[in-house]
Amino acid sequence: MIRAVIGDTWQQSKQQVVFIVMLVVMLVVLIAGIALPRAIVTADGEKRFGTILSERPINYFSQQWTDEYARTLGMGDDASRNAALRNIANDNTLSQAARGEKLRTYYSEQRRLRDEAVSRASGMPEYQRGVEYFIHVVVGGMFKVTMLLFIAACAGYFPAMLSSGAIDIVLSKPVDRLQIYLGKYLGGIVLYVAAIVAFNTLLFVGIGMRTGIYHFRIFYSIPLLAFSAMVLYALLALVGTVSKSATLALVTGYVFYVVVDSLVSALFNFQPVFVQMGWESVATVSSVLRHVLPNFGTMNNMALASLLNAPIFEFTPFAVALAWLLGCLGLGYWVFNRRDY
Amino acid sequence: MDYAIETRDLSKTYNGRIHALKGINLRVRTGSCFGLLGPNGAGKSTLVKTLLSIVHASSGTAQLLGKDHRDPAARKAVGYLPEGHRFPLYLTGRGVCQYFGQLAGFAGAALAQDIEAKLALLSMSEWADTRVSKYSKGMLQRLGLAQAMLGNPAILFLDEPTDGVDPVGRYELRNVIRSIQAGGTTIFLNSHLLSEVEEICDEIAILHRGSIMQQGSVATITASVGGQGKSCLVTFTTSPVTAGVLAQLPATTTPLNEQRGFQVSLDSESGISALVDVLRLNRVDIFGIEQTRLDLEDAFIELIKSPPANPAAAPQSATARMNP
Repeated sequence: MIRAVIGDTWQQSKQQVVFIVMLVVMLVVLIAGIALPRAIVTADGEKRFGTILSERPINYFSQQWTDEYARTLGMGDDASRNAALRNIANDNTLSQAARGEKLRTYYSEQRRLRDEAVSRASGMPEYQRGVEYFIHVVVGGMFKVTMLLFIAACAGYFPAMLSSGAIDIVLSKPVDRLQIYLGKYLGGIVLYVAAIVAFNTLLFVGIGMRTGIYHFRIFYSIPLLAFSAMVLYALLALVGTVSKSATLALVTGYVFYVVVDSLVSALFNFQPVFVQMGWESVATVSSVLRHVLPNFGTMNNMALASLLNAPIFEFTPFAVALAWLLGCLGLGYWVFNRRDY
Repeated sequence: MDYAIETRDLSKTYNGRIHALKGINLRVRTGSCFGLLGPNGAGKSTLVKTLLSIVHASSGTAQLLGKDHRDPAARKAVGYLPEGHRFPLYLTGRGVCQYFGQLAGFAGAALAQDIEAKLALLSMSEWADTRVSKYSKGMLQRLGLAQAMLGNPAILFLDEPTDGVDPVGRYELRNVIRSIQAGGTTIFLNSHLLSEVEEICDEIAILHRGSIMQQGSVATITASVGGQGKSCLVTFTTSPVTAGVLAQLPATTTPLNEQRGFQVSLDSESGISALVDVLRLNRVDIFGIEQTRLDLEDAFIELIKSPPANPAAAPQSATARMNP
């Protein structure tokens, strides 16, 4: 039965321009990702990371590896660092000595994190760091773009299945509604996960052949990326089931993935600023939102950080997303099961 | 007696106030062709959908082949062609059959062979690999019937199967339905084409405003409706008949114009001989006797125009006849 629904979803997907565009985008990114990197041997015989676009080695990627590693350790990005420093400097409640002590503590912590990242980096050839960060960029870019297209592709799966005249025959078959609902859900997810697995596998082999570095951790990112897609698709399935409207599911998907997610991330990143400014209520709201709404950005960062073997796994975003996944699937099935068609 | 479909007080109420089905009691014999008639909005499709659990019953019970209709296993040997179906336009005819066949639990070479056989039976082999989006209405109906027949179901629900089909196609579909029934399949036919139902079905129920008003064979229904229990109307063309002679006849008569004869409603054809005897005894010349049977359409319109106040109490009603 599941095979039938997955097969049907595949047939449906093949007819969707946006699904084809998604596969084409993946293919283009894959080809570029395999074709661009190469090893450049310098005059002193050292192997460095470069691209086919230039004869000169590119240090950017290996440096970014260290920065990204440090960020995942907790240094935060430039904006949040600047904001934290500004707030310490502008905090009038602090005495000169206390302000100085606070700044020293802050810099000390930042230095410790940076040193840890550099220490980790120093144990790895610069060339390898360059290749690893390049893979990080390619996989991250692919996921960001294809998720937007995936939302557009799968927003209509449930409304199409539930449309009048289409669902009747399906429900008349000797299959319970739970299987039908989960089958349709898995049908959409399996296709996307299969595409990600194929992409990462080909990238693993292609970059390995091009650079000599077979970076197995490329596969570590798949579970969390797939999990993000599963959460979002469960939400689309719920909206599609309740409203039977592909447009509403599409809009909801984009609002959650782009607007809400960015808002929650921004609020959380600036939480220390709100505290410093005395906006306790805003800080509380941002904290509550992070424990209530799914945070795709953080989950994607965790997935990508695993490519660099960075020690990062935050339980809260994962638990919140899991609750949303189960909640959306449960509620969606409940509505589907109760309704007359 | 063996029943393929049984319902007991089956009801469906939408939003607590729209009573689509009101205590339906129905028994459909195994291997019969059962026709469900009713005007638009009578609840015909709702009844079928409720039997198939596409619509949830508000109260009452139903069984398909002895199993609770809510149990998915009860639908294992059931085929369904819904009214106004919409097949996925991205599939071919074969793809549609493949998809629904797999959903029904069939697979592999056996399913492939079955699909070939059913498409051939419905003259659709030529179009098997054409996208459904290119099909005409008639072809879609035939494809719908093909997918419903996969696995040779024991019960086949057909909701307006000839809707949108041209006369030749209708004739062919009717023959297919007859051949399916001949194979032992129970057919449950929803249709507003009375002549079609009259021609195909062994038994009929008339549904009106969610209640079954009559159930039985065509003859039974027309007899119960056609003039206080009379099933045939007979026109006698005779030499002038006096009022005294008419008074002797064992039936109420309606004189024709210019004393050319009279019309009389009878229980059955057997009453004609008795009338002839009385007329000949009184030396009335009989020039012609024409018998007009009430057809299903007359009975149906009569019933719908003036439904009994309490359908359950009406003679021959489903409730009265069918409750054990």
